[in-house]
Amino acid sequence: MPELAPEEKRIKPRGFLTVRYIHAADLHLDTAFYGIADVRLAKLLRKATFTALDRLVQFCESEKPDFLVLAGDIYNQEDCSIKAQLALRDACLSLQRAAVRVFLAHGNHDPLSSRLATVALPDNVTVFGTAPESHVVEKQGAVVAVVHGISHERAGESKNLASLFSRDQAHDCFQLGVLHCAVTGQTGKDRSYAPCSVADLRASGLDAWALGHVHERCVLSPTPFIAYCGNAQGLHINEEGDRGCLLVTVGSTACESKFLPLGQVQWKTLAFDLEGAANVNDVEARLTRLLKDAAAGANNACADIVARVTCTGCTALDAQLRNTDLLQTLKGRLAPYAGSPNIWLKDFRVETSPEIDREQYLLREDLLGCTLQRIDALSKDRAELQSVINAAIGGRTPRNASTKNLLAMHTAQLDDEQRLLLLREAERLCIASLSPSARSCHT
Amino acid sequence: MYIESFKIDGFGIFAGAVVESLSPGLSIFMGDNEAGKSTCLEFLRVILTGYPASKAAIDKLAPVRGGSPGGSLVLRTDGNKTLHVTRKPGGLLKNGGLLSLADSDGHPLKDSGLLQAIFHGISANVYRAVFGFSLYELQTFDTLTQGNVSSALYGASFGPGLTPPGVAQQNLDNKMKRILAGDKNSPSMADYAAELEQLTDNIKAVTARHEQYDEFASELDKKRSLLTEQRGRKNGLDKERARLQHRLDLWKQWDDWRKAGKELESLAPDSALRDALPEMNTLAQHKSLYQNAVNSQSELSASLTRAREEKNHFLHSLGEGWDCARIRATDRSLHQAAVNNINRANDEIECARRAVDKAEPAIDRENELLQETDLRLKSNLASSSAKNLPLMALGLTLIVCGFALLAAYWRFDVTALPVTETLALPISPLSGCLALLCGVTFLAGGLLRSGLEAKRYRQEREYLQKRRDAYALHIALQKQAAERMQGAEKRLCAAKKAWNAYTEGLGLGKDLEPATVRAALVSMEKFLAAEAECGHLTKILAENSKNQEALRAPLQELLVRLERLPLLYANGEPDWATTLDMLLKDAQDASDRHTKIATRKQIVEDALRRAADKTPLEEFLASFSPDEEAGLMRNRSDLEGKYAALQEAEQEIQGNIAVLDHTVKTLSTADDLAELRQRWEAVQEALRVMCLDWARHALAYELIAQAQRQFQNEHQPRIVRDVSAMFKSITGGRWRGISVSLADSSLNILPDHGASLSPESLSRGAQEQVYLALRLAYIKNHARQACALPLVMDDVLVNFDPTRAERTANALVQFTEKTGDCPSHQILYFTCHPHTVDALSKAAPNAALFRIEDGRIRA
Repeated sequence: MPELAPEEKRIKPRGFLTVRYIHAADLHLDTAFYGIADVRLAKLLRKATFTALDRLVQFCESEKPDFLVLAGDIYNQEDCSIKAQLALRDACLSLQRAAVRVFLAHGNHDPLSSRLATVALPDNVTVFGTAPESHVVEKQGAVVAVVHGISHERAGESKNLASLFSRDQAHDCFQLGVLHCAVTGQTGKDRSYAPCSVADLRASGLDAWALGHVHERCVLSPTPFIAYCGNAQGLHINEEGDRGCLLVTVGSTACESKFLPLGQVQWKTLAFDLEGAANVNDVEARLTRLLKDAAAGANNACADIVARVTCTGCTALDAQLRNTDLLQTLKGRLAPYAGSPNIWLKDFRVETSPEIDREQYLLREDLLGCTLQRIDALSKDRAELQSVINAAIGGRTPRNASTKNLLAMHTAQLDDEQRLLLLREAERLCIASLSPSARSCHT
Repeated sequence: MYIESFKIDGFGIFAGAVVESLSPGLSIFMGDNEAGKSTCLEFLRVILTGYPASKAAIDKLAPVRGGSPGGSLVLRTDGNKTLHVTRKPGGLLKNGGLLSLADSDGHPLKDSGLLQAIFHGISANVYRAVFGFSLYELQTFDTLTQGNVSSALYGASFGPGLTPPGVAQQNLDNKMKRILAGDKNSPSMADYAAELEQLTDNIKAVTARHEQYDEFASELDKKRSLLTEQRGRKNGLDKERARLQHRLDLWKQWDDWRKAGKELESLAPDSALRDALPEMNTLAQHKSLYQNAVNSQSELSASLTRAREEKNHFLHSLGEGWDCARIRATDRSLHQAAVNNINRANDEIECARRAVDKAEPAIDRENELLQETDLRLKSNLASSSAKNLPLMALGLTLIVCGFALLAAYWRFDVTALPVTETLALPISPLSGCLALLCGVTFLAGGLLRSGLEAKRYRQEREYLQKRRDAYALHIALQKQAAERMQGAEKRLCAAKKAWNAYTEGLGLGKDLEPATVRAALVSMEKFLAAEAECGHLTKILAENSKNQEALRAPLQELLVRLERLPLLYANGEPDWATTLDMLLKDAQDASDRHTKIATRKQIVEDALRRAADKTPLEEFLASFSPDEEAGLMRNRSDLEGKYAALQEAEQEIQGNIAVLDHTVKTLSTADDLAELRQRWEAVQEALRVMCLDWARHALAYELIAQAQRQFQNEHQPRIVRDVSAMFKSITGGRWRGISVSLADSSLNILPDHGASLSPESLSRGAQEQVYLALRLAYIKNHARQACALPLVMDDVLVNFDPTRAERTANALVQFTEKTGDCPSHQILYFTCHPHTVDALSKAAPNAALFRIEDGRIRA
């Protein structure tokens, strides 16, 4: 959801004092990045999560907020990373020296039970328990805020935790809720993690919510101010763009948020137009220009870009792009692109098309026409497509059990979109295989 | 398309065999067994589709009767063009030999794909199975049901320019295998799977260790607390041990102090001795004098005795009447003056005599030299003043002659002076000068002495004069010596007179020799010396006695006071010096011992006073008891035991802490798990990419297969109809036809009535008829879309009965003719049976007949 314009975020004045806090979540320290085969890149990315934490501490030291809230998934329980928890402790110690209070709510990836008992957090840190609790924040001798929060007890928390919150009537001041939850409509598959709705959040009577879990930054409501700050560092190719935290200023009349970038590595999908590309030199020149433009377009906070290059357009090099190591060779020659920022090429998506007239092919009465007609029919019948894919894979799977399992595992996870993509790629293979003819006899 | 001619350069038993003018229809090749029919069939298949891909198989086709391996044929295409095809073994096995193509003019054609295009998807295997086959190959149906054969047969109809689906599928299948097998740049799926399994195991192991972090860290905290506690206890023990040690040290000092006091008490009897030490030191100062006196006593006594004896001896030697007083009164100094005078006179006489004696030989020698020199001088003065007179005369003569010659020349102009009639003396300035020169030379040679000679003569004379002077001097000296001797003799006489007077004055009598007087005087002197020595020695002896007494008396008194006895010599005499030394040593030792102990006691007492601090010293000292040490030692021993146990326990804890600390730190900073997980993800990603790549190929394969099935479903009925019609015709309507199942590619024979049968249930001949009909139907179907290829058959009608053979021959002949949409096909039929030849000839009277005999082919 796009961030709302400032004028839409205005709230009614309640007369409380100005409060400033930083809202961060989903740091996923030391997590392993999937979809990355390059060892150097993997190291860079894993380090990037720690860099994001360092930047968060630096922002706290420079912005001097009244407190910092961490809304869960600071590390991954399944990673068993001691280094991550120690890094969190060290960061909290730095914040203690900077006199910044920290409110920490655990999420589904770092439930309270995953905390290492021997890694003690300093006194400036308040870790929310498994029941809602609230803590006051004083400023110049006066209570300026009450921070409510709750932690996930276990990894699969399915209760509506938002419904457990209620305003503290004893204090007439700014009241903030910290929660790691899946707000209806904001998540795809994992709706089971502490699900709730915006209405549930509003019903609590709190003035603002600092939420975690959804990796995309968004403001769900200006009044009360309900926001996901997004994750601190993009974790895969589908998490493109700037990642960071929110500096929220609660004035006497409004809650205003300012985005502070934390992620030093940004994911990007680069559209690589190869329309009319006639030779390899042309491809290389276009790719060089693409990388240069991408580097020029990056912001200052970004030190590295990890890019997926999607090749598009109608080109005579279609078959060469698909069937040879041309793109990998170009990747080896041009990437990582040393610039400001550096650009790493994660992979290539070849979505080019050969210089053929598909409509004419469809009209042919030969085997090729028959094949394309069959493909068209399958693209319209997704059930049949799935059945054909299963038959194709099942019919050609080698007898080796290990190979069989791996093929089954990786092909069973395909969704409709991926199956269609597979069909399109198979179509290109069919065209390439049937025309021009392969020479098989000794003549 | 048909084969117009072929030439076998070298192939099996054929060498240089040529067959020309083949018709586009049926050609029959008749030959007996082993005439070369099968070889000829193989030759045509090899030239058209290539050598087999096995070296052993190629070797079997090698020429046995010479000739270059391989051969060629000429194809006439449907466009009435000729194509020369030449193939020889060689090159890569998979290429099927070295192929060369040429057009009708013999120009090489570089398009190697031309032949492939003509064959239109028919591979070598398919051609062998369907188009060129022997009886044996006809009898199997398997060759027709293989996917590639099926695809190839349909390929032509699948679409012009398309890869046969079988080939396309094979390519896809190969790619899928390559994807799974990996290559030099990427591991295989099995490798990835193995790595994934290994990674999973490693992750489990490392995760298990990481999950123990809390346990390790908690244990580390516990151990550190325990260590602190242990160290606290150890510090307590340390203090207690220090206190005990301090008390023990104090007790030892106290004990030392106590013992020093006792030792001082035990030294009390030596106090008199220590008190006498100053007195002894005073005596010791006299000890050297005493010792010297004792040592010199005997010698001095002996010397005194000897001096007295000598005195008496000298007095006695002077004779009666002499005593000490008289001797002292005698003037012994005059005697010496008289003796000196006599001696001096004697010396002077002797000296003068020696001078005279010495002068005499010198005078004689000088006299001889004088005479000799004088004689030599005299002899020189007597000789002539000129040295050589004739020479001088000759010189003068020559000078005159010279002047005469010059005058004659200059005054009278005479140039020659005749001597004889024939000889004339030349007169010239030269001859004149020569004569003058000779004259001067001769004159000089005969002149008076002069130069060196004269100088030597002068020196001789001077030497003679010197000798004369020396002689005179020696004479004068001799004279002076004689005069001195005379004076000395006079002085001797006077001295002797004085001597006599002197001896008389001494009362010794006259005419005494000076030696006698001198002896007397010496005795007197010696007497007086002995007398003086006696006095001196007596004085020294008295001093000695005094020095000895100065030590002995006080020492004796001291010994009495100390109640000690002196040490004695062997002779029983007291050894006062040694006694003094012994006393002194004892006293010094006693004094030193006492001083040392007293000092030690004082030092210890001072230390104890400091330790007592504000407690009065007496009270502090009273707090110690002799038995206290044992208790203190016992306590300290117990304490040491406890301390050692604590230290051992501490070391053990420290070791545990070091191990735990290392483990915790390693786990805190370890990237191994993260790296393993990252690698796991990377492998998963690689596998995902690999699987998707494989899946898209599998899907493409399936899509082509499905399209192919659909396509075949649409086209199969026509082929089945063709086969059925052909089979029905051959069998004369005995069988209705065949049916083919697309599901399992099975073939069934349809009888005129009743259920269908499998081909295996038919007789051998009928089976071969079905297979032949199938081939012909496929060939017909292929030819509808592509170029008609020549057929080569080797006695495939052998097992047919004559009627069916005749019908089949008719069917084959019909195949060589264009019918409907099916073009004509060339058939080359090889047989060894004349009845087959007859049947074929009957069906096609114009068919060419070739005979094959022992590797030769003739029309």
